Amino acid sequence: MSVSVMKKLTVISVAGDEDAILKRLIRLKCVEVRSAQSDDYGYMLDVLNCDADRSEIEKKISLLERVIPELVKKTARKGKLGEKRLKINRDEFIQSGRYDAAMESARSAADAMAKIIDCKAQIKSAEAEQTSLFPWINHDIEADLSGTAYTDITLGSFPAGTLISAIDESIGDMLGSAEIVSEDENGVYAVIMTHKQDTESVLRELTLLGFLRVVFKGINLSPRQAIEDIKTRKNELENELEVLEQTLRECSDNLTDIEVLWDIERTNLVAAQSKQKMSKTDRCTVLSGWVPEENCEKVSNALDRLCCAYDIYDALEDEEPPVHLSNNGFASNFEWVVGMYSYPKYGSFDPTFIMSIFYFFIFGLMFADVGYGLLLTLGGFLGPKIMGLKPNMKRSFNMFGYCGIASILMGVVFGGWFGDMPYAIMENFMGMTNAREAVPFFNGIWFNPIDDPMMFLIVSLAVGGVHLIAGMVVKFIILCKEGKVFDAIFDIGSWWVIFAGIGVLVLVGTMAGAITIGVGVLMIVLTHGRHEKKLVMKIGKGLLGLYDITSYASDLLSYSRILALGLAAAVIAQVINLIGTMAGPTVVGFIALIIACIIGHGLNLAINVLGSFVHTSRLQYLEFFNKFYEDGGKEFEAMEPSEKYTID
Amino acid sequence: MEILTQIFTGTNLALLGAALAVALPCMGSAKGVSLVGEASSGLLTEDPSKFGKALALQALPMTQGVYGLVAAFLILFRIGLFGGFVELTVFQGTYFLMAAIPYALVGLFSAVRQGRVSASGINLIAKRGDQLGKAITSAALVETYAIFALLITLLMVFMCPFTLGA
Repeated sequence: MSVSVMKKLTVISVAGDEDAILKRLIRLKCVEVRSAQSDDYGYMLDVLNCDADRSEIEKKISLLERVIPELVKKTARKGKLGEKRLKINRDEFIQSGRYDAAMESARSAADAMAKIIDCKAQIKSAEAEQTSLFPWINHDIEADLSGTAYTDITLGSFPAGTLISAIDESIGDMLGSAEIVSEDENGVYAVIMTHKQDTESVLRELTLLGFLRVVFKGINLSPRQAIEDIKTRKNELENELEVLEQTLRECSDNLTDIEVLWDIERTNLVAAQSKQKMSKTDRCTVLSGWVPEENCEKVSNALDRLCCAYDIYDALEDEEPPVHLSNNGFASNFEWVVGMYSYPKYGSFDPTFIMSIFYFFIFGLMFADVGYGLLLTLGGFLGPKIMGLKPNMKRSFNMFGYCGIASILMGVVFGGWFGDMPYAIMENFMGMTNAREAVPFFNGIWFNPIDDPMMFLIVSLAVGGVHLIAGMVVKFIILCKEGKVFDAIFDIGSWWVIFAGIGVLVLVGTMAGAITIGVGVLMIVLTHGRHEKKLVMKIGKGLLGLYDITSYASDLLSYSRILALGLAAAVIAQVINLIGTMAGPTVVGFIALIIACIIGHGLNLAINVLGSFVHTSRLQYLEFFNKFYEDGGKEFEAMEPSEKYTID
Repeated sequence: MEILTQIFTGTNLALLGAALAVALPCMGSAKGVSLVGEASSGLLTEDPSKFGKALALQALPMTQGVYGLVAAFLILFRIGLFGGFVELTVFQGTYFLMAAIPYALVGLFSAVRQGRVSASGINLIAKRGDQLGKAITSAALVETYAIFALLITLLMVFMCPFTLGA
């Protein structure tokens, strides 16, 4: 229900002991280390340098990050959905040598991965060479032989379909001859033998026929032998590849341990990052940090058992401690919604609890449907269990779970059961003609917004009015607590007088209402300029104060979106039901209904969950929070061990 | 003139309203979604793991099209295209055409504009992946006006003050 009080923690220990202390504090998950400032101790301390450690850890992590996804592909271990993370004692893990074994395994996996890439590249180039040699397989001399003392041998290809007679004709009287080695759809492959004195002119002539020269450098075997050679080389490479893959598979048996390794190194990184914020003297290290008041005992119990001197004390006046929200089991699920806007300023009012109640109702009104609500509730509460999510993610899922409950409740009140699914089925499948009269329950136990949108608009605006006034009440209380009772009465109370007057005027329609409004208006005109010095300014500011009515009016009208979103969801659902039940009570009709439901209602659910979430949040941020909220707090980020794969 | 009175019958005017209510916002959504898609391809070449987040932003300008579908369906429902059809008078047809106009215009405009804000939201999550919530919220503010216009269109269709037919 509130912003936790933060205490400052200073721990001084002999240099070398800080690792054990950090390790212990990380496990407590409730200490944020901060950079020590010079004025904390009256003089500047040196920064504890551990860049080398940190880069060493980061190197290991990047190695693991490369290796783990590859090993996951290779592993024979079955990843079951909803598998619980293992609980592993990390100290024991390191001492028993499993850490070193896993590191060894990860290194050899990385090594094998690099070699596999190399191997695959070599196989590729061997294949390319084989393809280029293949047309010359009948050429019986060394592939790179370029001639004898008086002759030149040139290999090359002509465009497909070139005839030997055409080539001979081109050579004509010059000293040379051509022989076709092979032919395929890409070209005609030929060996040209020429006397050295005529080589140039023969080749010039042949170029006109489309002759392209081919050179095999460094292959002093006949093409046939060279191809055999490449084949053996390729076989060897493939065998090597197989061995490397086998190594990877063997390493993947250690995957579980390698994942523990990742968690350990990640936790070490957290420690190293915190360590960089610490300072030191010649023989000592100094850690300075924040602890929420409720965790102080836990921390001092832990530190008592370690060799260090520590103190936990109040923050100074001008310091801004980080903000940690603590709420009950229901409201804590909504903390992230507040965090998405901005954390409250330290020491100010934590709006989470009151916001969560309104969030619950407004979400329910926007998305009043039992069917969708049920799906949302199931997904929100079972999802994190099945996927084994971490507490942070679990909370956002649970928030939607609670919103689903709100949808179910409102769905019963306003008659949403996947839109009008019960009636669609009764009318089109069961042949009932007066389903709505016979079973009015499914049309809402109060009324259905589709039948009476004006009534639902009034409900929406009424909820909005309560929401806005609740925001003003909060501000009223804050001002009173700060001792500004007059500010509270004049700036907020006067508006309530006006609102009450409007209420009476609209609902009862008596002069009393008009008089009350007049009193409120007078209060504002007379008091709004009280901080001004000159009389003219006092009156001017007072009149200007009345202008706020526009902002209240537009805030209130903003709640009409509840109606629009609610209607949109319900109408889309009706359309889906209409399409789904069109084919009537046949086998085909039944299949069509199921398909339309899965696709249509799935899509409608997705669109409306996003829409309701965004617009409910918006009503909190812009309409509710701007009445009282002091934002600008910095989130409290405790050091925590990494628990992606295993729990420490 | 004869042909004009045949074309602009009451029913046809109402159908024109429904057509505008779905066509214009859908055009807007297509434009908006494609704007975000182009921006997110740039992000995904650098960091494919952000696909989920980019998709959430890309989906935002889709709603205008969906609401257009809602408005059009409602008009079609109301004039009895799915059962209970009666020929509308020109006055009645014009009423539905008028009812369609708020959403048809605002839906088109806000979808494109929302697309642009979402596309800039892609830049935001490219640099700071944890700020998706803020990117979504600021884009969603643009949608507010489409919702208000939809509200008026829906109310006009729901509350039509006459019984259909002559």
